[in-house]
Amino acid sequence: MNASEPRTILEARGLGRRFGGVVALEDYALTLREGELLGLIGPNGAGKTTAFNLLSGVLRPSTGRIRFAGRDVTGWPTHRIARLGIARTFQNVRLFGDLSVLDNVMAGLHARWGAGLVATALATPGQRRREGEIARRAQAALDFVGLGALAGRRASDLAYGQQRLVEIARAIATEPVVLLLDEPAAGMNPSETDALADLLRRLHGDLGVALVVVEHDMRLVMGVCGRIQVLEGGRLLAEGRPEEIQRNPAVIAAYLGSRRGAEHAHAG
Amino acid sequence: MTAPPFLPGPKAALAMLGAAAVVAFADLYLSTYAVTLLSLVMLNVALAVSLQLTNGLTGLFSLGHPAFMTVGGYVAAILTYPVRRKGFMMPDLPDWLATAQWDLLPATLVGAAVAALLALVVGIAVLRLKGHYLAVATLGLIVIVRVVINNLDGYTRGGLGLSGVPRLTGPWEVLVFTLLTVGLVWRIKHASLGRAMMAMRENELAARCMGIDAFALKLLAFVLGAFLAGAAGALTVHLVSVITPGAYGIPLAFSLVVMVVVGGSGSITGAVLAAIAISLLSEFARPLEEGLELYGLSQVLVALGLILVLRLRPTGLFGSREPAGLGRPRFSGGTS
Repeated sequence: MNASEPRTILEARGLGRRFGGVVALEDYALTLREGELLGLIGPNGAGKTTAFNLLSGVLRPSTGRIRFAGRDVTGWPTHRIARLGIARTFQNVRLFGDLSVLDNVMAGLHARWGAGLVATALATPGQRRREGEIARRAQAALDFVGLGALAGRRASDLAYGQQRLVEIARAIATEPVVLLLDEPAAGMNPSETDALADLLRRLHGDLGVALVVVEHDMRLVMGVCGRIQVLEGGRLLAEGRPEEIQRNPAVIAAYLGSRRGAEHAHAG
Repeated sequence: MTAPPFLPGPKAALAMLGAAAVVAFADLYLSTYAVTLLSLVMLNVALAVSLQLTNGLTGLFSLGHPAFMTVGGYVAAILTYPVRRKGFMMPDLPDWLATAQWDLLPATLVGAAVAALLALVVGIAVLRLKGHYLAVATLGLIVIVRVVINNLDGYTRGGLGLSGVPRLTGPWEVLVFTLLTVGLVWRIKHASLGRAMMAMRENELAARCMGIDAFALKLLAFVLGAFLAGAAGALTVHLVSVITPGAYGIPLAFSLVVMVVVGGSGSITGAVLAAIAISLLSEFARPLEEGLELYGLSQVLVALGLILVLRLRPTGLFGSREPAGLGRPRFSGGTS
């Protein structure tokens, strides 16, 4: 990373979301700098996916503001947030199952490169050029994640771990500034997880994308993330470098405490 | 691959020539009845393919095609109706309409545009809602259009219907319209626009997270489908020379949905073949219905066929695909 301080790209202040009476997330704050690799961890139900849904515009926050590159984008519709350069993947993979792997990634490029109705109907030279550009970029994104050879396969026929990589290819094809990855290693075997760690480093190093990774695989998180946030019960518990997080008494209590609590419940 | 891209590829050109040869043969050697039947079959092909755009590719569930056909048909018929008979057939027409007698093409375009406008209003109202509101709203639209036309009897002759509409549509006009419709939907499906529509059908949330404006795209698919249905209605009226408020109703909506489902949601080839098969089946079941006094037999057969297909092949004959080898070769990707 350069000596000069990279500027803040995505910022959240006092972010909260309620579902009826249930508080899923409360007073969440985030300062993500350009090209940063941030881990977001916490027990199940801690509010990690809710945080992603708020940052990507899938859900509207009940409280708080979100700023992207200094611009207030709170409450913007999902597709406009995406067009700013915030891409994401999903905890339960959401591919366009009946389309080919290549078409999945190409569909992700429609917003920026797709031609309009009239150009499509007339198959204008500009439209043909755009189609070629979409195909080229989609193939390049698939090659980047190592799935170039599977471009013609039907997406839902792929193994689960490969489907996660298609989602990542679909997201990076849009050239995002910020990429939110929701449990990318879930369902992957150890060697696939190693390849994923390598992919995250290349995304961050070669493409300079700012990454936020929700993940349960601690080895992966501690290995690749420069900074980590810990959520528990919808609140931000701790934030810091991996080694600080590993020593943080509150984090240790939260992770071990829940187990101790369970033992107590057993004993009682 | 030296042909300019706005022209159809060699295989599409061959298919078009084949269709033209059939029309030419019918026009020269067959009876008026056969030529009209051929034209109606081609119109059903155009209707099924345009519904394929809305329902098959985009994943909406519209039943509104008959309503848009009725609107397009009445608007176009009023525009082309002979001036000397307008006075007593449509006494409430304003002067500029009462003295107008248009050609088929502008009348068809205006009829289609009015149908599209109606779809725009309905679409803006219901397409933001999740779930099957569109099916209910378009079903209601069929009823509303019928009631309104029944009551606007100074413009439409109400329940009596309009007869004596000039026969301006021939098989060649229908052929051109059908080829344009199939070609348009084909190009959309095989371009970024169609991929975005199918992406939305497969997973709307993921599509929105990729920057696809779901509402705008649904509105486009619905309004464009309505435009084509409106044009088909206009051409049909000038083929059979009459239109009544109930001519295109819920049974037709059902038949068209069956064509899309049997052909395979998203498959243009499937919709074309299913439309031809079901139209011919209905026509040839008619003498049987009269002979056996089993009226509605064709509807029953179509419904049974639907159940059979759904039972044996739930994705329809072709799924969302086209048979291999049709159309232009796809891009193989720039890096390989």
